[in-house]
Amino acid sequence: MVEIFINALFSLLALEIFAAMIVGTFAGVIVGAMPGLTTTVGLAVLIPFTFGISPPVALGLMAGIYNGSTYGGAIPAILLNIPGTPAAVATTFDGFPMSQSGKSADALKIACYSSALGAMLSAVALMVLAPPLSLLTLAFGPAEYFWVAVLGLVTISVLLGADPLKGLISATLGLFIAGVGMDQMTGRMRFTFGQLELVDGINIVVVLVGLFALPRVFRMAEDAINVGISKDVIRLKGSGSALGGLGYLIPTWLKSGFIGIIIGILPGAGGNIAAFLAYNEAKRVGKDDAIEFGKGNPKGIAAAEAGNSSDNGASLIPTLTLGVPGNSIAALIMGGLLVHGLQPGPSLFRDNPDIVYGFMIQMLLTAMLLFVVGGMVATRVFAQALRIPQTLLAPMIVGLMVLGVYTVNNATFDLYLMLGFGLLGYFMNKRGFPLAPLVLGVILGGLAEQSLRTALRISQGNWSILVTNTISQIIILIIFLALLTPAWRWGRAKLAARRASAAPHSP
Amino acid sequence: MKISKPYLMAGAAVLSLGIMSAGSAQADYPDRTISLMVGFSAGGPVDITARQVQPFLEKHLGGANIAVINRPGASSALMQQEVANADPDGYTLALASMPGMVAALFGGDAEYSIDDFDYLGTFTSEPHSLIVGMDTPYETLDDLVAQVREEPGSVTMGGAGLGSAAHLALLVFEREADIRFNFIPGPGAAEMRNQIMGGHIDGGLTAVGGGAQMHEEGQGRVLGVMGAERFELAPDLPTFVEQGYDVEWGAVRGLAAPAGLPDDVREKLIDAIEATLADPEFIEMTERDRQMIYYLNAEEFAQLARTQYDNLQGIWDEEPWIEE
Repeated sequence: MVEIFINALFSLLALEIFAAMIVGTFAGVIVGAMPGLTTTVGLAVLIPFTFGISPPVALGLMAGIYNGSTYGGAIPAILLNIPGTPAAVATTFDGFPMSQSGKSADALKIACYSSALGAMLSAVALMVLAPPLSLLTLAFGPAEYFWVAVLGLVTISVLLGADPLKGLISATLGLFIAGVGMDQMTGRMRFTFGQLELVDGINIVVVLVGLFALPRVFRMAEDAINVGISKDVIRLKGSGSALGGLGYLIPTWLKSGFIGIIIGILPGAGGNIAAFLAYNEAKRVGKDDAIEFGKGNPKGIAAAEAGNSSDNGASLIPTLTLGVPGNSIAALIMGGLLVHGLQPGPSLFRDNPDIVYGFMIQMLLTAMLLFVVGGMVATRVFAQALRIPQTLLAPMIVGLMVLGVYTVNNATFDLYLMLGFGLLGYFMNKRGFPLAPLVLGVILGGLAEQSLRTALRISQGNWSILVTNTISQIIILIIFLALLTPAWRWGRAKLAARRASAAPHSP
Repeated sequence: MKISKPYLMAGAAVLSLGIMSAGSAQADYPDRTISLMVGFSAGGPVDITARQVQPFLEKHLGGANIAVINRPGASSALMQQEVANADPDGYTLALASMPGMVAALFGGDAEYSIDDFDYLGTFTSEPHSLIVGMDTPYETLDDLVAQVREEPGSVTMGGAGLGSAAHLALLVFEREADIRFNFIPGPGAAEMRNQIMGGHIDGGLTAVGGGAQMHEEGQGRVLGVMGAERFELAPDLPTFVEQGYDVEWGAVRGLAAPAGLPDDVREKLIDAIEATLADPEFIEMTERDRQMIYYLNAEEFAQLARTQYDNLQGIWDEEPWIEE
């Protein structure tokens, strides 16, 4: 095991690969720092583009963007009270108050070190857990994969979105999109309308780019008209003390890292949920702190940032081993692997060890790079990214997207598809439909259908193949637990409400 | 992985499309970029052949500029349709892979026929192989056939999707031995390999390169190779023919163009193919990459397309492999 990692490390020793990691991390921080751009937008624009470059370079860029943007989101969260990415919402709670009290440089430093440590812990978890799990997945046949896909579908519908109905509609739309193309078992065409372009179904990369990046661009165009160009000058204040002074944050970091890793492995949840849970836990433990939570407690920043960053590597565990992405960022990374013909699963670990183990190391190295970014000079530069006018940014992004998506299949058809998905995403955003269930619906719906029908074909139509083996039974049990969670939560809330209403009557 | 500058190529393709309608004097062919179209994604076996022959064709066309353009989709039907409709001026060529090019005509919406192409010559051939899992009891094809005869449909055989070269190979074997497997179409060779190793399916069909590799690494047992003779790069694997089953099946890859090429252009392309195959550097490269050089001239290649079409038509009429 160690030997494979050492070999992979040596395979990374090339100038362009290290350059890719550095460029990716810095670009990620900028992408995260700009409120219009999120990790998903950054990756969606980049991935089709990496098609022409060698996989280690492409994956280095992706790892950098993933880790960098998770930290970058904290910069506007702390300086302007605007989360740069959804995962940075919890960072605003204590980050902005701390910044207002004149310690913005300290707040940024804490956010940066917390992000770096969280992401490093998560990368280590990925390196330790993914290889043995990938061996285990050889025991997964079509029946087991079917249940894994169902588990993914169940958890996204339960865990995502304020309005579960809208989440379900979004997921169903995804399932429908997964159904387009030739029926793999009979060869019948479904919803292809005689278009050869649709026979193989709709390319997931086209869906991802259209859905995540275009609506953002539309929004930028709208904002540019309404808001105009910001002329704020951003100043950093505070002492910028060294890591030595931050030792008291170690317990918060470790606990938040653990929470983030667990949330990362579970499908459905993402960095924002990890950050909230970690923040709540820190708040629960630190009730008696000198600085109250929400009024600029450094532990609040540390918990939120370590929490959201430790989601990163862990979310790739099910992605790399099972081909089941836990959230939309992992789905994008999977799209990036597929563009290079790298199919997640045991064969990835067996046939391309240098690439997959190298990628895990890249997740670790790019996390370490964040320490460099944490320096005052770098942070000062990144803070200026907030001032790039959106009127310049939006057309640049569209240009990149069109060029990138065209390159995947050399197909003009894909550009129209991308535009269609962009409009779909725009209206879904406007109407409050979450996009992630749709994307996971496309990926998991295809997997579920293919696995179910393959299983039934192997068993010659005998449905018992789905429940007769232990792995399937364990996954079914987990599915039941996942389904029961909302009911349990509802019941507990009801109980609490009854107690609360009963309280005034008791003496 | 050698994937060279698709952006430049895309750009070059756009440029060459723009000038495509210009003039018909071909004496100075080629005087602009030639598009070599591939019906599969970059990195796949057909794409690799295209990228292997590209520099040699460039060299033997007197320093021409050839761009490999991937147009994956519908089992290569998309690319073939595009090439069939292109101007026959020698600037749009197809890396034609048999039997895929012919098989894509059955059951789909493809709007071209095998007569829409000028077949120029072939480069390589790779026979298919039948492989079973290490935990299965089968040591020879006879063992396998005996089991299937006893319990029809009890043996599961994987392979890339319906109508793929692997699936058609199985159909040909079934007809020769008069047996019936339970065919499990899968998304690709990597997944099939996992399913065989995990014991979820009994075996499958794959090109001999991948089959021999699994065999060597103890991930499966190759029971037979569908070549006329033993595969020279894995000589210990038995053929179907020597076990008494007259099955020869494999992928043959060559160069085709839209029908109606000017004679001098056709001549130049055929000369370039022959020069490529005789090029010592090309021979060395194919040996290193476990590719088998296999040359059919233009007439033989066209004949192969015709024969394979008729064979598949015969199978299709009796048992269509795709529901319409």
